[in-house]
Amino acid sequence: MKTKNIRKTDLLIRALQALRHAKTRTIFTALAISVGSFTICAALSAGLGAKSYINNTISDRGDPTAITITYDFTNSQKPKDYTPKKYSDNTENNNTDQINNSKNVVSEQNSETFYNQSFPQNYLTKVKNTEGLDQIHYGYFIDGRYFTGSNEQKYKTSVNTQIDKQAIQLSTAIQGVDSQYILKDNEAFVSENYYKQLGLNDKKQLLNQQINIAFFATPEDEGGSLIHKTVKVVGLLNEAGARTYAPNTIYIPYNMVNQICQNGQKCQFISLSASVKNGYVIQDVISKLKVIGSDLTVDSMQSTQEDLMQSIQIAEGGLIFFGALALLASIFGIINTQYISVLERKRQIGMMRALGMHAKDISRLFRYEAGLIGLFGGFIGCVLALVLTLFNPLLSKLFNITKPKETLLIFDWVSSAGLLILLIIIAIVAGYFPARKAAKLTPIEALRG
Amino acid sequence: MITVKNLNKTYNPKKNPVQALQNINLSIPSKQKIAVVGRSGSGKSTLMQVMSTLDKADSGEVLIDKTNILQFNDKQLDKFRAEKMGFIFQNFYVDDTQTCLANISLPLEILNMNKSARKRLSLEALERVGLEDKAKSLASELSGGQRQRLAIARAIVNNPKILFADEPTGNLDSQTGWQIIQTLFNLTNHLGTTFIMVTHDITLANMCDIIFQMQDGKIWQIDKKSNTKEFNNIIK
Repeated sequence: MKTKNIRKTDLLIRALQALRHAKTRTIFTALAISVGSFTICAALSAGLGAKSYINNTISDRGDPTAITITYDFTNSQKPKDYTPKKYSDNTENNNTDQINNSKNVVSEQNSETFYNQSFPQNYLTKVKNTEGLDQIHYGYFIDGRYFTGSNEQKYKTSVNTQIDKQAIQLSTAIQGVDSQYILKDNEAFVSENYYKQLGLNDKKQLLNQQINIAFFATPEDEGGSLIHKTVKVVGLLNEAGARTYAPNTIYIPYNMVNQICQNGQKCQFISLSASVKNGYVIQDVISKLKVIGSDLTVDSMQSTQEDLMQSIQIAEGGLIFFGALALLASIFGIINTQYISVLERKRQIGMMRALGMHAKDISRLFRYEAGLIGLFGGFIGCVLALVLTLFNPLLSKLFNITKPKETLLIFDWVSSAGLLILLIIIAIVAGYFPARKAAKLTPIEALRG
Repeated sequence: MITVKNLNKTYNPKKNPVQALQNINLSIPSKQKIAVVGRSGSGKSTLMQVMSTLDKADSGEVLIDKTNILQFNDKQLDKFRAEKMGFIFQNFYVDDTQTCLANISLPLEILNMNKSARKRLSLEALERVGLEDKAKSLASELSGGQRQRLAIARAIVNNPKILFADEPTGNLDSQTGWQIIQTLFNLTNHLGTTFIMVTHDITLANMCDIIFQMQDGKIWQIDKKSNTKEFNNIIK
């Protein structure tokens, strides 16, 4: 005698109806599940957003094959004397303080963190001879001193170089020029805050202003002389950019400093930056460079990206772990809910069995109910996580992300769909024990209640 | 034709055994109305439950059209009940959370019938019990008599060969009970169903074709025209 099982759709409808009847219990159980699913979905969204942000930021910063080679001065000869010298009465560390006495400027030592050592020549030769390296730039020691505008007043500032593609990405911070703008000779980006010092009424008036800058390319006590240059302001670093990169600074083109140094000016450099040629594996080149000396630190965009990604993954993993714990706790909620349901519906089960429903179908009915609770809970959690992404503008403001399309939370549809499926499976597994209890009831013992 | 041979059932066989059925033998011709009467604890409900395969016998046979259904495995029993049997209980056992239509279509869902056929047959069954206007009402909204009608509609929707009723009017007032019985008898006559009813009600029993009396797990057929006073003693 061939037997047929009840249709799955009919069982699903009956399962839905049973859940609707016990809606309060269903909602609370689903809400318990939603805590876990929300945590996981939100963690995935934050992880995806952070990864995307890092990828974009790093790719915007330029060449992904870029590497930086830094000499570790702490392992070499100690500096002769780097005790800060007295600097009049005004020792505030505000770089935009007005400088009243140019003598004080040159006698001030703000190079406590610099060891008056340059990149060793023998290392430089070996680096230059390393196979696979291209476009080697010197990380010149630039000790910015002051700038002057049309009002002829001197203001303290720091000076940095923009090295072509490897330059610090300014697109999130710059106003006045295209985000990918590469400075030409005698051009500069300056902090937008400098407009006050120059006696201007508006930040935008800074654009196209000619300013004079003074800096050392070699520490003064190493024999460096103060270099003076006139540059035209073509872009403004806004507050977010200044906060992210260097506060109150002036960016000048790399070539400007390079030309000065190549034309007989004594210059120091503490690091090198380079690109890896096409066809070479970055890690292989890094390994070759590390062999040159144990006091060389070699970083690459790729390794930086990997390190950041790993940090994000650890944070994301932690959140997912707590979400999973919440889910684990809610599984017991499903088991409890379904056990109560079996006890309450014993006579209904008995009648269904009397009418010829297979024990297996009874079991399936209760497992479907459990699966639906899992689905509802998961769905609520995912929707809440999706709602959280509506707060992206607020978060961007909070974290000074000025790119309009850059968001910190990106809802991960694929992973969320996967989570929902996983939750349904987990809930069905959790519902197995109550379902088995229901299926094991004989018609007559179930009817007796 | 239903034949019961040497049917035995003992509750709690190890501790405090109660022999509910003792070597029961009986024959029920097809399309007949059967009443099983007896005092509480006489074994009449157990007999109905074992004959209908809701409960298992310790030994014996229940032959339906010469097939011993007690030899069936669980799946075969389920299928047999779904196709050939209908049940009416004193407590109705309708699902209050469902509509009348959903309650009635459950046996047809179990038979894996398609939705349109289920709806057609369910509405027909509702019409037969006079609840055609209650199709979309929840079972919880019905009165006691209506709920029992609903249970009857559910019991006959699959056009069963045998209809088992355990005290079908036990929870109803006499007038409603009478209406229910009228409905049941009309339907079984119309459908040609064998009707086996467990009851305390002498009047109801007298309306059936054959009456069996049970006492202490034993059964025998009694003459409908026996002395009423003697008959009353059987029940009380």
